[in-house]
Amino acid sequence: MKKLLLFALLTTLLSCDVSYEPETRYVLKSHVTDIDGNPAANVRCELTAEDEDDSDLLSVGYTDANGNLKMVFPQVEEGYARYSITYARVSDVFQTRTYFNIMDEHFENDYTFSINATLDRIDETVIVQVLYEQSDANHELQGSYFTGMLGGEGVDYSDDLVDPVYSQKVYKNQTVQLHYFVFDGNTGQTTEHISDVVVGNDNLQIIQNY
Amino acid sequence: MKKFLYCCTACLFSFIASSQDTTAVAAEKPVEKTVSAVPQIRFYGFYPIHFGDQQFADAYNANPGFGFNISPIRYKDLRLLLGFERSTYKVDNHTLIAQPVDQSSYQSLFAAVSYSIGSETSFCIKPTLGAGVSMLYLKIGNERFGNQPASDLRAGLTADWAVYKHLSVFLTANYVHSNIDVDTAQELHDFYSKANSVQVGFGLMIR
Repeated sequence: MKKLLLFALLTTLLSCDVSYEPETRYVLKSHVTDIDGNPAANVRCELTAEDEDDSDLLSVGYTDANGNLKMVFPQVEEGYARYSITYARVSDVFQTRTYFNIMDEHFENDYTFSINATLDRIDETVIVQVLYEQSDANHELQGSYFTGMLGGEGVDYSDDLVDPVYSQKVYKNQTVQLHYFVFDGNTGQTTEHISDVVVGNDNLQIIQNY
Repeated sequence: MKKFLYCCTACLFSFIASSQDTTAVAAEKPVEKTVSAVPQIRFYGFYPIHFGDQQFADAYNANPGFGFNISPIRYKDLRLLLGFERSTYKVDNHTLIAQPVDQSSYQSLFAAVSYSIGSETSFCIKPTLGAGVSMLYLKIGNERFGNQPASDLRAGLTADWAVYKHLSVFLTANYVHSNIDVDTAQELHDFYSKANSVQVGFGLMIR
């Protein structure tokens, strides 16, 4: 019975429903470091591919002593195709981070895409929480994002206008920028605004009026 | 396994070299040098030994393959061959292929011309030149993951021994150069598009 269950589990894990075109082999090069630029060796990298309906774990590898890893994999069939890569150190030193919404257009340069991934240690970041307060009834918040030395679980490669950020992991003792987009109903225009946020050693909460 | 097959190949060629006298004697016998429609059919097993910096050598472990060919016609000492071969490979390095893919198969349809040195009714050696079209199938179990077209050029030697009136056994060694259709980074293009192998095998021929 156990063998049967194990077989069923393996079959489920190994099943593959995304369609591929092996005639095109993409190359994803990763260089993984900590925030100081030191190579992160032996980081487990999992590459996932998805189409409109399903997703597959397409490749698994580990960074070498210099923090480098090259993965070669077949292209998902034309149409909706997204790739994501998750970096997770075997030990608990670093936090897991996923770079997602990587698309065919990112591989236009010689079928190759390179990621310089920075992993943050568990005690290196604090959390900035943002509360948005509407100051004008004709204003509508359309999206926001942070720039600066950011931590966190995910990096989005899509060009879509992002939803408002309500929580962001950032490195301690720095000034980060909150970019937010406000649609003005009077003028019909969307304007980008930038606010500086001073980060210390502790989590903080800010209020952003728009 | 590879060492054993290298040894088999070496033995084949040394045997061929040492049997030149026999061949010469056989050649003295009258050989029918006319157009013949009597076909020859071969069934054989082979093992592909891949070499060079290419995916079959670095990312796969080869399994024994099989093939058959038919020679429908002979003109003097030349024979036309039409054949099929299939070999399978177990994925050894998933990072170079794809995690879900556990095996691949390579199937070829080819045409070749061989030249008989010696007598087909006793012993003969046949240098062969050919070309074909192929398909590389990537698989998850028995399910196809995807496929890539390819083309092959081949050159080889076959030694036939007649054991009965209409049955011969043979040893064969072929060099096969394959070009596989792939679009990838320039630095990896040859790795995925080229394949060089020596196939050593043995089989039966019905004539």
